[in-house]
Amino acid sequence: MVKVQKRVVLVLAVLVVGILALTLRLRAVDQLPIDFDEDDYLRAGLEYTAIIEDGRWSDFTDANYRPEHPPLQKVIYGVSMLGLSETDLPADLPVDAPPASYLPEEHLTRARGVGAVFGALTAVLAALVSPLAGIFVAIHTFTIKYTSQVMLEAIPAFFAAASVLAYRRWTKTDRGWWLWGAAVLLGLTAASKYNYAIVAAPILVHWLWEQRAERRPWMPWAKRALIWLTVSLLVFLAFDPYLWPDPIGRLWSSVSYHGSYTSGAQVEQAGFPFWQPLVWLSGSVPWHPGVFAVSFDLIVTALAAAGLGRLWKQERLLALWLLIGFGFLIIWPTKWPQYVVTIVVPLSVSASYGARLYLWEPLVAAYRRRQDPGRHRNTLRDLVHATPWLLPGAIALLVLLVYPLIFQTAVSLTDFQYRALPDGLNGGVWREVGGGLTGSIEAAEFGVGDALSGATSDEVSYVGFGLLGDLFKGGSTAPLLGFEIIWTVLSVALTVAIGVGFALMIQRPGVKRKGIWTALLLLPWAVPEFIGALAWQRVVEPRFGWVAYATRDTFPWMESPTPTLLVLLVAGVWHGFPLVMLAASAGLRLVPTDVDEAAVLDGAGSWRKFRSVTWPLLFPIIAPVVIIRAILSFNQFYLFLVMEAEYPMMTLSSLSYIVIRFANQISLSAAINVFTVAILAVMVVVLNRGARRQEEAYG
Amino acid sequence: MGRRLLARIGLRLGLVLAVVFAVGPLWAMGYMAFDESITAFPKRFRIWPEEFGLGLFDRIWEAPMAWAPSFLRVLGTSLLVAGSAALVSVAVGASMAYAFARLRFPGRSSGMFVVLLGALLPPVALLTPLFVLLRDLGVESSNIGLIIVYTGFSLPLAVWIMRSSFITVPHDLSEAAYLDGAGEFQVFRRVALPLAMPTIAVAALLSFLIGYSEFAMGWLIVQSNSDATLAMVAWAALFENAPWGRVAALAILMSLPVVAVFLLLHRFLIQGWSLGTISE
Repeated sequence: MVKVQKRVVLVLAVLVVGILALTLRLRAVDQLPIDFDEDDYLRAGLEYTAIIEDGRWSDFTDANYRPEHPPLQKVIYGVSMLGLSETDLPADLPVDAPPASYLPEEHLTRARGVGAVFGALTAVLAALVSPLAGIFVAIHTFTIKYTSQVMLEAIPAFFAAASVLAYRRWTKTDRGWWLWGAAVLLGLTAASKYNYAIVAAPILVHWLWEQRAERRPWMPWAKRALIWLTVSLLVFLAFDPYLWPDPIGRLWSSVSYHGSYTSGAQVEQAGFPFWQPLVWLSGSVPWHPGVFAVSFDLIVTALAAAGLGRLWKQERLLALWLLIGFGFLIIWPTKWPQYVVTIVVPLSVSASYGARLYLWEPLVAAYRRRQDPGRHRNTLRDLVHATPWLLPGAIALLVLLVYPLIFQTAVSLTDFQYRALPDGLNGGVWREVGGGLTGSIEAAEFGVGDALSGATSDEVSYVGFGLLGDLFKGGSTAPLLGFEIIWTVLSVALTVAIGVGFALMIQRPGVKRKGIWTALLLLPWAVPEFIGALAWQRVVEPRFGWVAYATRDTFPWMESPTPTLLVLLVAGVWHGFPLVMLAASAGLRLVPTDVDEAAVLDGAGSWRKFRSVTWPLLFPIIAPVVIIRAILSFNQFYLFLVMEAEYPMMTLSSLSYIVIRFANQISLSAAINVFTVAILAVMVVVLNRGARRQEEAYG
Repeated sequence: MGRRLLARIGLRLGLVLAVVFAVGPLWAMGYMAFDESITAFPKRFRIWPEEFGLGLFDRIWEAPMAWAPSFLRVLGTSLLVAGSAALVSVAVGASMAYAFARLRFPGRSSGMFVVLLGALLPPVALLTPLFVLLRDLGVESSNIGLIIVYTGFSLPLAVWIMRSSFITVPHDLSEAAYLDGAGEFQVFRRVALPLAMPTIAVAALLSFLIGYSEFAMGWLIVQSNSDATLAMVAWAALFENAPWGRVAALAILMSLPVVAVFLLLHRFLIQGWSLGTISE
């Protein structure tokens, strides 16, 4: 009975997700302007419409407008437009031509509609894994946009998800036809668009992993996997008639097209840094205000990051898809925004775990604690008893921390800038915000762009949540957020690697004068951060720095993103590693050394000993310091100021400072700070969890 | 045998490279302070001063920048501002830290959350409202303004660090004191405070460092050049493209005292960062 009920709930949830996804996509079909490439793929579809209507079946082997992409989705567009009134083909223009100004309305809507349906079906597939994940796919704006335009994303995305989920079903039921279904679906994926076939990698890795875990011999597996891949390949060939006359030649030319495209003018002109996929993931679609009902892409990404650990434990397959797919996006030189659609399903499932872990479970735990009759209740009397102890600190904190934060939030709802200082200081901020929140003052339209436009006024006025909304949606500041993420992650990873590495060297038995080595390696942390940044600025100065003179050339590191990131990383890691090194040195003294020494005497791989003995014992000890370093890197400020970093290669706090100091924009700076505080609050919760786990483990 | 020798040589080499990485950039800037041949910026690759001399330090001693008062005066301002902020933070925060560590009361967890959040906030995040608050309060002297702002930056951190030390005071000791009839305040003063002293010193030191090395907020608040701190002057020297040697000399003078303290106390400093949790 319970099982039946569960089924009914699941079916209802999946239906709701499907309807939600379809509604949002049809709205987008209706409202999105014509974009790049839509004319191309509509033309390709119309060619097939004509071929089918005329019954020229043999032409299938030669028609494939834009042959660099396989034909399946174009064919489906063609089928969908059967029976519509006749229309001229859109002009044959080069790929980098601007978006068409006109496309036949009826045909465009029909083709877009097909994409929208497949887009909604993809959300339904995700909902089968977890209804919440389905909702995330349904509302993800980049996914909505690219599955509701005449692009080549909707159908391969659907087949790719179906293929992975069919394989997943096989791992659970062990019914063979799911496995072979996955192979067929993989072939269909590849016949729709090549890059979605990346899902073959997570499937095979997962499959192999399971084999190894069960210690099965791996020859039979390899044979089976080979047959599986052959089946996909055959299906791919079957659904790509364009390849039939000359399979190898045409396949080669379409694949090599993408190879040379990556280094072509169009990609170069876009000038995206290697972490650009993170930029696409850290904000909703910025180009079409008003088309999307909700813009939660940034939150989905954040939850996905939070849920990744749980995903890895419970849905290894989807975690592999997410990691391999994301890795591919980072490595692949072409960085178009639609590529994020390749990983949106595992991203959403991960986000659903993140939501469960950080939103739902804490709520349940708090509720249970409240219900627990045996819990210790702190009474008012306790508070009275504690008051004299708290009073001095509480007053100071209220004045210096809490009130400023509240005032700051109020400022972020206004257009407060320098010229309005007298008004703002004399209660203007509170007047406007009070009026605005009670509804007596109408909010003006005001976003980040307006704040930077340089307009001034003598009076503060209420602008509502425009600035905060812009930041939390991540639209206009997504480039900075993308940088902020890659910066924090790489800087912490390198800091930990170097800090632990140096600690291991110093703590080796046989190293004399440990104190002196430690002292010398502490210097980067001992000098004020700003002096350290200054030292590095002198080293990498483009014309007169050490590097420039040593290489007898200028060192224009600021001119492109990757060298800029590298230089900043080196300087940031230099400042950060001593703290980790100290913590790791202290930790290594707690780790039993006899195992280590035995390993060294054995001459057995010391790396393996480190991986399996030292690191698992060491990591919990240094975890809090690692998280502190993450927060400090996230907030890093003086380094960026001294190195004169330029937008978007800087942190939120540097941007906040620059905005108030050089653009005189108090309200935008305040809004950035409110955003930073919100992110830090989340990081503090994570820190607290990590530290508590450590306390439980080590007492 | 040969293998072990190789491993030992490799280890030494690794350590030397590590030190080169740690000290190299400091040297790249620092040598210029002793080089009298550099007028604006270095003209060629050097790792050693071309004309060794201490003239730059002489000139900086008199006036770090043309518009600034004497070095001692600037250093004095730094010590006054950062020192007062540190003292106020520790003095005001100590009892609160004790309460968070040893007492139970409603709102304790949320209070600690706010404190920890405040401790990890970048100074810039409080800049705008503190700046406005200062105008509100009508603080005339920028020294006092700076003290208030820097106290705001360091107080949460100080509270948090001191709390972690009060937690470690053994319960047996305080129980014994209660049995002898001591009140909460007696226990605080005679048992907890003496035991926590080293960590309180660390809290004070870290608070001091925040104010001592801060310059960005400083220049938004300070009105007159004569009230500038050492860090502010050093930043201004960089910002105004002062000769590299002069900036280097300033940087060295500013770092020396901090580096000395750090190297003496680093064993304790790591304790300050081993935070602890907001537990129920």
